[in-house]
Amino acid sequence: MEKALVFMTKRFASDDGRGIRTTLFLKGCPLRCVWCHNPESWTLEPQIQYCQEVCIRCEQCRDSSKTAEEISDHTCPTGALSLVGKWISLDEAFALVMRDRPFYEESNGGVTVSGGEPLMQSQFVKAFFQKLGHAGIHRTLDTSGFSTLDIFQHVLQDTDEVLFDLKAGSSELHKTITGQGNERILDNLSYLDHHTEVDYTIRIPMIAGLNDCNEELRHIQSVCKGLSRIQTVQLLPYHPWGLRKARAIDIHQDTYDTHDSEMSCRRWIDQLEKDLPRVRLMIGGMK
Amino acid sequence: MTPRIEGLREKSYHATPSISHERALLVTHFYKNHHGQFPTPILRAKCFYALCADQTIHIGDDELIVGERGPFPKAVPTYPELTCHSLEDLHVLHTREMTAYEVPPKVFEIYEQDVIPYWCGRSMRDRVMPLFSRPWHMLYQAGAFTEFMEQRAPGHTTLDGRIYQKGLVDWKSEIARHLQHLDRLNDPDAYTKQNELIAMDICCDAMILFAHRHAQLAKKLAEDTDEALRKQELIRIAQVCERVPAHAPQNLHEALQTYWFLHLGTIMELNGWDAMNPGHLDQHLYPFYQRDLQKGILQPEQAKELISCLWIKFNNQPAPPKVGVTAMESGTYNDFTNINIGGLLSDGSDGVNDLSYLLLDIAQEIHLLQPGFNVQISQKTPQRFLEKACEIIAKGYGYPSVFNTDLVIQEMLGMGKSLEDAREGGNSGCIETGAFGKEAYILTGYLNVPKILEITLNNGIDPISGKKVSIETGDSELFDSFEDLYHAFERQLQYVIDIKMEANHMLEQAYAREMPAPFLSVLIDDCIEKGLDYYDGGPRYNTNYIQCCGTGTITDSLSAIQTHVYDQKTITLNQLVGALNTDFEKKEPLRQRLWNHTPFFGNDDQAADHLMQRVFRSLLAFVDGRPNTKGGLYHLNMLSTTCHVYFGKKTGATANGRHAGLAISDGTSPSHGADRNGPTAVIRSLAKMDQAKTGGTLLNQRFSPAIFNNPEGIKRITSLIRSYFQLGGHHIQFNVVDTQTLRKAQEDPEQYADLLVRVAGYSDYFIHLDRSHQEEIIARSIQEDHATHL
Repeated sequence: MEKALVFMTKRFASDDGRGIRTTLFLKGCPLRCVWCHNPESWTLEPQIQYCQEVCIRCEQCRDSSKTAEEISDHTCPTGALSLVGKWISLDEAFALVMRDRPFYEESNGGVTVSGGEPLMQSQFVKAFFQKLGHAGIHRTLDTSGFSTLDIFQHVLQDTDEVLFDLKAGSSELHKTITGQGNERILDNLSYLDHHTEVDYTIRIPMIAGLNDCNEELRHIQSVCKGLSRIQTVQLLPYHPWGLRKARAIDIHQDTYDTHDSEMSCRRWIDQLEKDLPRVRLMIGGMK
Repeated sequence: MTPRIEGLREKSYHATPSISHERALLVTHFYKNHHGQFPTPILRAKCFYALCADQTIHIGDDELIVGERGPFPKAVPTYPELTCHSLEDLHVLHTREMTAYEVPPKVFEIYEQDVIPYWCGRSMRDRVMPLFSRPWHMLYQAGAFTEFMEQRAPGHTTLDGRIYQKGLVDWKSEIARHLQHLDRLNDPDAYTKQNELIAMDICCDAMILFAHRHAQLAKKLAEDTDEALRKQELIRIAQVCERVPAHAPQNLHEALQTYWFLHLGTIMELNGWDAMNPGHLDQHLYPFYQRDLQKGILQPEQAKELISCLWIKFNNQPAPPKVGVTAMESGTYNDFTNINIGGLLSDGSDGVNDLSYLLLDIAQEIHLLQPGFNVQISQKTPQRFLEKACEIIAKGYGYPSVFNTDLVIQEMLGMGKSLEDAREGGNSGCIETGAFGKEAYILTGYLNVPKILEITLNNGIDPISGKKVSIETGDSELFDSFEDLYHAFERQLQYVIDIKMEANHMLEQAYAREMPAPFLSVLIDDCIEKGLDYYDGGPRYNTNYIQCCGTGTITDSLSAIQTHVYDQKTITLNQLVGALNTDFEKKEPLRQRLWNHTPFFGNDDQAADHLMQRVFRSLLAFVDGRPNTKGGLYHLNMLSTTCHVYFGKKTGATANGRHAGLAISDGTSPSHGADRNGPTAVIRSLAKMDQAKTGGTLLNQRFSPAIFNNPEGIKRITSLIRSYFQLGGHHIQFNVVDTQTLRKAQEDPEQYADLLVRVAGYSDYFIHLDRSHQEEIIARSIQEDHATHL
């Protein structure tokens, strides 16, 4: 039976596709985006997190050795010290998302798998999506596109919609800000566009000072122009919600200007509107 | 909004609620002169006649719909025959920080000289409350329940469409016919019925006189004014008041004025809870609206203006002044008129019409505290109508609340009402279900269910006062299993409910015998036919509700005990009770453990939700289907108004990690902050309650404005509502406001003077709430993106 390492679930998710959705966040990611809002998703193993803001310094954890294996739900009264990431079976995952089935049906919603990079657990995602497909549930894959083409193809066969998170159009910049070049990503995007009929939305995080320069805008324009079925591009302004989570797992993260990021979104929209007249352009979830 | 409406709205918004002595003085004089001269119903009818004949009447500038309960807008009468306020009460009303009423020196003077000397010891409150048993007083003082009729008459009434079909003159002939046919030879109750019917007849005359006095005043004002346009309007008003409510209305203007006079009559007669309510106003007015448009005597814009004039009238009538516990269970100027928009027609077809949309427009534009309004959503309701309602909700007004018409009908069928009567019914007050125009559905008081667990854990003692307030059901040391504890809790629950019902019965009989409401009885089927008063089983249906509060708190507390004491055995029950009785002093880690590591209601968690269902079944067993004294039955209602804040103050720390004194959860929403999986999980949890067996449940949901700020967001909310209703939900209401805004409003109240928020089945100005209520609203979980870490 397939299993998945899941670090978060979200019911009534409003930013992960159409209608009322449940999103399953899978742990493990090949990228290391410097602004990442889910830094606890990076490693493909359960890990300890410690949230200083919640801790009441009761020291009840002092006696336990605090290895990942030994931390249970009850080690810490407040939950300040906890384990992030849990292996769950396909059936468990299915039962969990099916609880909201009446809401999906009423709202034309469904289930989204996000991450981390869900394609790192592609066998699970494939099986999960197949099972959901049999139940008639709409399936959305939220991915960075960073995987081999084989894996991507394989999962796409059972996917209704892709949220394609493109961090940068230039491979050089992509490598600087995520640790990996974007060649595979662009290949996969091109495959998605030219060789499948799966709906997709391109989502670009806008991080002031990192990927909002004019040169990058031109790269993105050229990527988009090469796509024949492109319908929607969403620009997602930077938000600092990852900072606290990064601290909790002892990772240093820089912060970026939220206002400038939003301004860049507006500026880009103005530019892209001219070049891509038929594409629906949005900031966040909004027009 | 037309300039007229804008002006009337401004005036109403800025008027200060004040106490008028007029009614108290007229009633006192009347009783001094006439008490003992007539059978009680006739005495009450003649008293009502005196009010209609002698009360100061008022027609404001620019008004088209006329009449006030007091001598001018927001001048609130008192009802000393029910509760005679002391000078101290009046002082409190005048000076308290929240929901204050200006009390002019003249009122103090008249109370001291006339009202108090006569009514002290004679009012219902003074006479009946001392008759209640000692156990009742012990439990009442401990905050185990409240008593609704302590300061206000039973009421909670909504009218159906029949007031637009016939005038009071027609009802007078109906009354005469029944008087004529009384079987004085064989019917042992013929004398009682005769008195009641004569009383009703007098009340009809009284109301016709009241209307005619307005006609006279309008004529006089018309003569006095030089403005040609206003002169015409006043002449028109005079014509309308000459005709209605004596005769059936013939056009929209007359229909609106008919309702308003009848509304005023009921709230002048007595101060029944939840004022009066027009019910399905869109459906009732629609034939007049259509006809007037067809005839060409009215343009849509004029119709809107006329209806707006009525709308503002409601806001001129703040709730009668409440003091003490009653003020705490319901601390607001809102008097709970709750207009139903949408729903079904009596033949089961969709009831939404053009006026439904127009009423939503009017409500949104006028945007005042009163009247409240709700939308009735059935499976047949057009999506466009629900979307429009959600667009208004998105603006953050706290209005309208949303009801599941199909379930509401099912509730009424379960209580034995006919299908047609059920379809013509709906919801009034906060969330209460009733057959409009045919039912007395009386709220009798709130039950503090978490408090009863506290009393159980302390073997009948209230740990706050240290007094023994209930029966002994065993020391907490002796409960070897959760079952033992639950059994003791059930025994306490039954005892407390029995004590409450005993007193209810006494009080309801006291009203039936001594404080009948013959005017109200004219308006409700089948009082005339039966020759019985509204308070004496006259209506076709006679329901009593006990309103149970704290579903979240009680479920979570039981869940915490089950989890930590009996399953994981990390603490003994005795130790836990010790920690609760000291409010977790030096036990913060324990409190945190209870709060963070217990399955809670509102998360779609089977274990917790099973406990909720179990408590619900116990409540049903002890309340539902038991007889009242009027031939009707008790049913459950899961409503709290503002009582969960009062009950919280009376309840020590609870096993879910809630600190002593903080609000308990409201009717059926999860405990504050306990729902951690978003609104769909809340809905799934609450839908596991068999809501069809209640007379209403209440679900508060607070959303971040970001969720609503686009068409896709509105669609998500409509889907959420439709899904909840398919799963068997009764009601849902929304506050769409972020914490930052509420905090700013606390800091700078003047800037946020008109910020309306949803409290519990009604809306109120945020800055009019006292701090504990404000904090209660801020503490409600905000539904944004709900992520749960695994």
